[in-house]
Amino acid sequence: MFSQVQVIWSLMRGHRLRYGFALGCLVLATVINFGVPLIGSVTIDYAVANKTLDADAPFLLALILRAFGGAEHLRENLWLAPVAMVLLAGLSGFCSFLKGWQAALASDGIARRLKDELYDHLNHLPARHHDRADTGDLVQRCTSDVETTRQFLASQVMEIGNALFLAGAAFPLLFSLSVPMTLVSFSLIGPIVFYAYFYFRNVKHVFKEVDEAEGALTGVIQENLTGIRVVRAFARQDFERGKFAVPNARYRDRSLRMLRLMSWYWSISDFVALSQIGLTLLVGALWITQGTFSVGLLFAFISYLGIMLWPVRQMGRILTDLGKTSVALTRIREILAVARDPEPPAQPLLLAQPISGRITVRDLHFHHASAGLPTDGRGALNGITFDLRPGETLALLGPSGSGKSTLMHLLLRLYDYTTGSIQFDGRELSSLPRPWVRSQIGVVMQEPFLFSKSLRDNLRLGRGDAPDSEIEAATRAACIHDTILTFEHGYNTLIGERGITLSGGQRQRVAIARAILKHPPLLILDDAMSAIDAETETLILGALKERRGRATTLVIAHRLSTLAHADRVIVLDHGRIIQTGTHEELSAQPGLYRRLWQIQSSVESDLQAELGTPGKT
Amino acid sequence: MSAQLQQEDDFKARLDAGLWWKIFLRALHLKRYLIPLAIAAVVIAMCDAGFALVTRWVIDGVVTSGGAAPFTRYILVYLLLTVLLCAGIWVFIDMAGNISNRLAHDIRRDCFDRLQQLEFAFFDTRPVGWLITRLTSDCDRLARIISWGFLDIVWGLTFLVMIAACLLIMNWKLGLIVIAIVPPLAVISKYFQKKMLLSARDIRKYNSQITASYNESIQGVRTTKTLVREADNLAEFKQVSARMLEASVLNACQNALYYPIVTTLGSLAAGLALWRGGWLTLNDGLTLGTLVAFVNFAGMFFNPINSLAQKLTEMQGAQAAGERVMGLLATEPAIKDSAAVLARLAAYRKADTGNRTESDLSGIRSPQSAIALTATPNRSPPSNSATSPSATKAARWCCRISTSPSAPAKPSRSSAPPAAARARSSPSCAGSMSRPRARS
Ligand SMILES: Nc1ncnc2c1ncn2[C@@H]1O[C@H](COP(=O)(O)OP(=O)(O)OP(=O)(O)O)[C@@H](O)[C@H]1O
Ligand SMILES: [Mg+2]
Repeated sequence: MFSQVQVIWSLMRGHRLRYGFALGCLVLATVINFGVPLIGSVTIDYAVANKTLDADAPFLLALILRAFGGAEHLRENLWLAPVAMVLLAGLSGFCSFLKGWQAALASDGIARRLKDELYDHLNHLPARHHDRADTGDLVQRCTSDVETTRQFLASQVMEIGNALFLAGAAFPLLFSLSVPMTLVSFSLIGPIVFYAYFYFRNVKHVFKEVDEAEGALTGVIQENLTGIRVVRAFARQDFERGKFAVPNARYRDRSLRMLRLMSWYWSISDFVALSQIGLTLLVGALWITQGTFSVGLLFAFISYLGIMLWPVRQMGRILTDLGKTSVALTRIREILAVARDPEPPAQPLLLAQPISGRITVRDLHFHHASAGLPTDGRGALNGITFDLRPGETLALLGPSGSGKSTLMHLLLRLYDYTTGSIQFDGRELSSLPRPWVRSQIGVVMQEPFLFSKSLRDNLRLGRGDAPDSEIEAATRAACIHDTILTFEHGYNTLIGERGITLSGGQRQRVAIARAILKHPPLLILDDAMSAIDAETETLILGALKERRGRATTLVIAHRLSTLAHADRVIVLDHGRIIQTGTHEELSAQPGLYRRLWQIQSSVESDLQAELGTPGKT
Repeated sequence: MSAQLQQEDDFKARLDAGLWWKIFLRALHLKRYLIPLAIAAVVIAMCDAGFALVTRWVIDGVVTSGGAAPFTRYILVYLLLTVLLCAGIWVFIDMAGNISNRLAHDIRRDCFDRLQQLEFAFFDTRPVGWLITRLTSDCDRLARIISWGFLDIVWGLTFLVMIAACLLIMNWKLGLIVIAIVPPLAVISKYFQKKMLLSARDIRKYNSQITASYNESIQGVRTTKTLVREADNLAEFKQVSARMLEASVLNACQNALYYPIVTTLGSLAAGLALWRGGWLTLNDGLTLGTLVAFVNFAGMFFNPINSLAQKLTEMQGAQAAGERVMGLLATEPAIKDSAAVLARLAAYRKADTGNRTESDLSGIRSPQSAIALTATPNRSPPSNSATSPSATKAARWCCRISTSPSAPAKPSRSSAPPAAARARSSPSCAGSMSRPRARS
């Protein structure tokens, strides 16, 4: 509990003054607002009902009456009362406006800062953390948990502060008017708060069930609509109707159950609140007949009940909600507590120029942290050693899961290797700053990701200042320029949720264009043409060769046509290099490479025969 | 996600009565809820006014007869009113809830049925997310407007008429002075309600952009890293979050401005009543109880007017949703099976049910379910609750405290009960002097 208060306090940094000001305004608004019924009370009792001011009359009433210049003066200038009332109400309203404004600035400002912080933090978390993360859950934490916190800061903090103030300052004021009446008027307040608190605590699960039913319903609708063509093709509409009817009815019935609970809650809560007012009215009336109370005071007390009953009834809910805020804060802090990628100090002098493209890999081992402990001594990479010369094109080949992508991720410093060494121009990779390393590499990932921006903006991601002419050159090289021109908005076409969906091959080609636009000294293509036909692939490879100049290239591929372009081929299996050589050398040796070559170049019957005896190395 | 695809509609300047009537007609078969709801609304409005009259009666009684005042009768009448009112509240929440949920259920079912009949071409032009929004939030929204809106409009109008009648009967000259506050109150309420609705929409819009940004940045985190885009991404994100902040503060300011203004207007009405009424009491024999009742009534105008303005604004805002849903229901499948084909299909299906079991459909469906599952972050995207000006308020008003952070819509600023529940706040206090219940 205390630590949560500390957390909230530190969240408020930079906005504390503003909060203090807002709270001050709220208190002021409440105090001034308390004056309004008093004016009515004084006017009714002393100006209209001709009551005389006794010596033991409440001090406040005497004060107000004096401010009006005495009963006689007020009676003759009755307009003073409404003017004073409107002035006070206006002043109180102004304070409450200031409070609303400042509290919103503070709480929304904090929420925004939190959102920015979370966003930046997520972008800087190590890749291995994202391997395990559940996107939906993360987004939930960044949005609705932040919103819960914002609401807490915007209203609950204020309400609680106000309630404390009311308890501390308003009650003395009421006591000064009439002790017995204060006791009578607020006798049922406690029960109202407790009732609300326990009620909401106990029905929480019902709300949750409604949420779940709604989620399930949305799920069924989504599933049906996503697969509507299949449904139609198999004439399964009746079945689908039945399938939909269940969650639809469940959502309705659960909501109805929640509303039934609500109708009990509000009618009972209102009954208690009205009883409180009735009690005040009747007891006050009784005392008036006994001469110990006045109509004006009764009017004032009933007005105060009107002011205070609602916040009091909210209090039960606010208290129940505190638990929710605490959970939300914990969930947010769990994200922020994960350490970012550590950054070695930058070496600006050394790093001024681009790398030459000479890469040395020695006895490299790597094991994915999220894959658990390495079984039988095997990680994703188990002792890789090779050299990459400037300007060379090296092809990587190997069965699925052999560690090709992993090797590429290590070169990009997405993961940190445990043993062995990788050197760029003789400098150990782990000592080089990540951003710099990545700026030296143009990469097309196995599953290229495009952002929901325009095509042009997507292409420019790697180099924001690229002129249109260069963009076009890159897209021509990647054989995507003509396709882009067929889109209605050309390079301005939006991709993603709000725009069009690109095919797999189109996405790969855009990603290739994006990578080469960067002019990187090292280009890595991870199975980047798997969804592109062989003819186009040859075109792209040819263009790359022309453009490349001295760029070192690492190609992961399975197609012979691609491999034949490479200066050298490395065959990986189970995280080890099992063959190295040129295309000619390797196709002369028995082994994985030759089998692949045979499969791809032989006729169908050979293929069938080859497939009949798999697993031979 | 549907939240990302949720389009914001134009705000319709004119209310299309025909459209709303058509939607209302769909609720007519729920008569067994509609009629009690209307009765409850009228009863509540009468009780609300009744409390002020009882207060007048009690005060006049004790002032004139002193100890001889019929206290037992006061207690009984007050108790009767309280019980009636609470019963009315119970009935209205339950009935409006029934109408809202049953209507949403039925509209949703009809839309779903219709979608099963429409030809493929219909789906080519409409993204799945768009359709999901129609079937989920639009249906709920329309049903809420019809049920709670019906309640608030009946209650609001009845209450307004009751207050006006009481004022005019008690003293028509003084009554007219007090009633003069209604037109400015109505104009201001309508103005602010519209402003608040629009800024709340902006909040929703930016909020779903923010959700989309988070989604994208997590899914594309490797791409971001390899392109060294962290700083640029953050800069782009900050633009959206700044706009969100702006809209959110604007909405809060509108709220913070609206309530003080109408409260001050209420005080003005109460003050006028006190001034002229006090003068009449002093010179013309107006009773003290009537004076107090006048001051009370003067402060009561805000709630019904506020809720009427709010409901009308909400209907304007939801009109496009209504058009879309009704449009969907009115879409006839272009290709229809002829009667003969239908008969043969039925025969075929009959013969077929024996050998095709559910399991082969689940086989067919599993790939799509996988799509559906991966397409949804496993919890529904949060909608900014700060916002939903009242769509959420209506049905889930009071207080959804879902502990799970998965609540799709958590009304926050709007977590007040419907106006009717709010209003009969202070039966006999100077409502004007109290803050409006709809604190936000
Ligand atoms: N993020 C990860 N967490 C845990 N294990 C992983 C992760 N990524 C890959 N692996 C494991 O590491 C091994 C090598 O995977 P890698 O992705 O490098 O294979 P690959 O050669 O690229 O295969 P493919 O040709 O299918 O792309 C596999 O056994 C895989 O299961
Ligand atoms: Mg791979």
